[in-house]
Amino acid sequence: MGNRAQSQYLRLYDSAGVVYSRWQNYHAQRTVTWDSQQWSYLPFEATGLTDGSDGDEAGVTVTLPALPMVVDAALAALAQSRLVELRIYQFNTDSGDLDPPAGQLQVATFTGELVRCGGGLTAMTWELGSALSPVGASIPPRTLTTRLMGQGCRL
Amino acid sequence: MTLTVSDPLGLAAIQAGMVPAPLAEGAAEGSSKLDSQQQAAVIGDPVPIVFCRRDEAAGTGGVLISPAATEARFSNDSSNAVTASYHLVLSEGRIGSIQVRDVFQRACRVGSFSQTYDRRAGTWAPGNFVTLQTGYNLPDCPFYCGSVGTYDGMSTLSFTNTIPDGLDFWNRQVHAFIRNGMQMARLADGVTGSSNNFADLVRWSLETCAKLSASMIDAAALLKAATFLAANGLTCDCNITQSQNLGDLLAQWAPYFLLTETRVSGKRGLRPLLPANADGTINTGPLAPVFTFTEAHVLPGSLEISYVPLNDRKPFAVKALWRQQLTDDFGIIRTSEVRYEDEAAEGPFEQHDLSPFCTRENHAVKAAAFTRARRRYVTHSVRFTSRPEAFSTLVSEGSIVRLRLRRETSFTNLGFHDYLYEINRVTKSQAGDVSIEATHLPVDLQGRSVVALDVAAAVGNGILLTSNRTGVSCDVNSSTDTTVPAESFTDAAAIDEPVVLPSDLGPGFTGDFGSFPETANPSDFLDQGYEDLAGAGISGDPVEGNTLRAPEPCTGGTTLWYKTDGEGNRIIPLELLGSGQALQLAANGTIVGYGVGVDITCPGDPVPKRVPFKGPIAGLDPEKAHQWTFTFTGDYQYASCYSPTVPVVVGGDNYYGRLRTLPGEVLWHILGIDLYVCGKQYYNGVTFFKGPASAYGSNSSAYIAFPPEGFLYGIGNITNGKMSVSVVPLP
Repeated sequence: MGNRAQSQYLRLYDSAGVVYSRWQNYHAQRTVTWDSQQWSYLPFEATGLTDGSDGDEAGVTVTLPALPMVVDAALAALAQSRLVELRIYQFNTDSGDLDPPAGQLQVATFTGELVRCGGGLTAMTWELGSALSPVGASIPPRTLTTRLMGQGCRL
Repeated sequence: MTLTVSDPLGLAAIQAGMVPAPLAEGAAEGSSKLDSQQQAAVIGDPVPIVFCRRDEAAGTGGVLISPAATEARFSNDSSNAVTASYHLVLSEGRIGSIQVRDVFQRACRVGSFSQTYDRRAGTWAPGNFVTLQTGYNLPDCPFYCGSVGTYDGMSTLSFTNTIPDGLDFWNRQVHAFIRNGMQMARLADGVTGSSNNFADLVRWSLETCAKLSASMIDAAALLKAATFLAANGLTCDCNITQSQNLGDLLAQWAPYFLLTETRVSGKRGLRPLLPANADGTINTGPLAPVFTFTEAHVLPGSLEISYVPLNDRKPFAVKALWRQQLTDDFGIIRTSEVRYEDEAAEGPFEQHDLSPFCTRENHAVKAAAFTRARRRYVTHSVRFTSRPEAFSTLVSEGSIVRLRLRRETSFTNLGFHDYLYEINRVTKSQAGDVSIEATHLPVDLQGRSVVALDVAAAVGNGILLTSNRTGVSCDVNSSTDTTVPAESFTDAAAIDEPVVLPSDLGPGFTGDFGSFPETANPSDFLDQGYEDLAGAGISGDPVEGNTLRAPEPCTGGTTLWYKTDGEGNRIIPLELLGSGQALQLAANGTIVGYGVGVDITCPGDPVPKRVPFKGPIAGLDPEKAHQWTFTFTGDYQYASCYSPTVPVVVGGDNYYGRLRTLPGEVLWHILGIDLYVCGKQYYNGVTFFKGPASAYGSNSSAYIAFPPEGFLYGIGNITNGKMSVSVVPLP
């Protein structure tokens, strides 16, 4: 029986497909190639990923070192509604490869917006999700304004 | 205070539809009041969404709306007949064309109208132009008639009708039967047009209301849901006029379409609550689990079973309200009652109002059958944790799995917990274990879902009622007139344009609003730390003999140095080491192991700033303490002494002062020189060759030792006394 390990890959991108950051948390101090892309090392940690029948399932919480580049990435993601993709891979560590093994399996993935973040000078926490808040997700989405309907009649 | 939270597993039963949400029974929401006063729109009202698609062949679909007026115009003629015009907001987006037969005032097909999109319908100007006519009373028409708006992105209608003197029907509500509602890209066929597929409405809402990125919407799941709805005749014909949370609406309506919301991989979607075939039809065949969990997978002690309580298992009958939508008349609210034979004939009843969107009897019956069957057959839900295995990539939300575990409560009477389940929630942790919550999926002896069988078999009575309209018709327009009036409109100048703020943030903006643009670190005396007089900060612990310089938090402050223990605690009584910005640490071993601290008192502040202590202070390396480097400086008369002198501190008889070369100098070139210590010649013509020959390189560590006493002044050439070196302690 082999030794099972998990690695997590985090990608920041926008709706146009422009990728801003690629990080992985397993191959320490190495920039590895996976999925034809370069993933640099960042010691982050994500909570469990949940798929569910409830539309309001909790999102994912990621704890990252508060490096300037991480803080900048978070602020930009919040300001520009960038997307975060988290993938979890499982693989056998027996080979002792320093790079991601070709046969590693993606067992979970999560795509969300950075809906909230915070922390201190050494670590910060990102909350990923897509909350349908009462403010931002009302139906119908528009209301009548002076511009749309003029002053309005009083009958 | 202690907060007690109920077992979340109990919530699984609610989410799975086994436990009803509290129902507020009332009149059917889909009903319309025909004879009422015309409503006026108020700024801030939601722009309604008319979502429907008429199936003329089946005679289903469409929705009667009672739009609010935004503008009005009133005038009268010499006979005092009042002509009233109303401008009405129909729907968000572009809707299908309205036929003459589909517009009413009160319950009568009267008046003329014009429909348009993205602009104001009609050409009349709003206002009250009623005048007093001879022999008549002045009609009491409203005075505040509004002004023209832009109506961007919405469908509008201009309606005009003339009412004879003596009647006030001009103020009655205008209704319109919308056969084809808001147009959007349909999931099922990819065509842009009106839709009655609930999955289309959900996708539009997620994109438009929630502003979700396309990558956060599970398009594949929505397409499957759309296929399921189309295949089973579950349609949505609604008029959403009241603002509500999108999540609440989806949670409330989705089960009536036999769907549940999903969130897989962070993407929102829908999933049928019943097993479905590829073509979307309900799967009434034997079910094959995608994975079987046994003792080999389930972690010991992790299994929890929660059975549905008796209150939620008692027999009851379901009354589903729906709307029979006639082709040429107003819709009729209908009731479909569903129960199992030999039970609940006299109730209790549970009423579910599908009338806001349901126009098909079979839809209502299937939704009711599902509600009843689910709570008749589904007995429990489970939660367990499994170690990671091959199923990690097979099992997901909605998967059908089998759980077969042996009950070993006696030697002879072994039993099995062996059921099929539908997975409600899968949580994969970083540690690798997988937590699964699932709902019992009851099957018959052939492995078929009994809920699916009952729902698939449930059909309505098929009885369609007539409008039951009696009396003399008040229609002026024909009930068979399918023509669409010509479009007329007014382009209006916008008022209250949005105030647009500039967004040019300049190059290099990263989203960090408010970050101070100055990149230099502000003065922070704590950050300054200690420095030595040479200007290099002392990053590590200082060494005795170092000269420290305190930070300068202010101008004109007083600096006081004191001694601490090795952990920074002041020595009591206070042992002052000096004052002033610089302090040279003693090099006699008296401060080794201790630390130094600094109090800096700034003018105007009686409380000194305390600089973090520095220490513990290391002692000089006994070997290094007695080594010097020397450099040639030219001719030197050894009879003279250097000033200042370099103290020679020795640690005992076993230590001797040593002379070393500086890096880059070659020691063996120095031959036949004399060594003077405190003016006294100790060695004549000493050869500096010491140590192995390999050490005679540029960084040679060869040395010459001399007695442990006095001061070292220098060395000179024995021959002429002209060669000299300067001597400094090793750093």
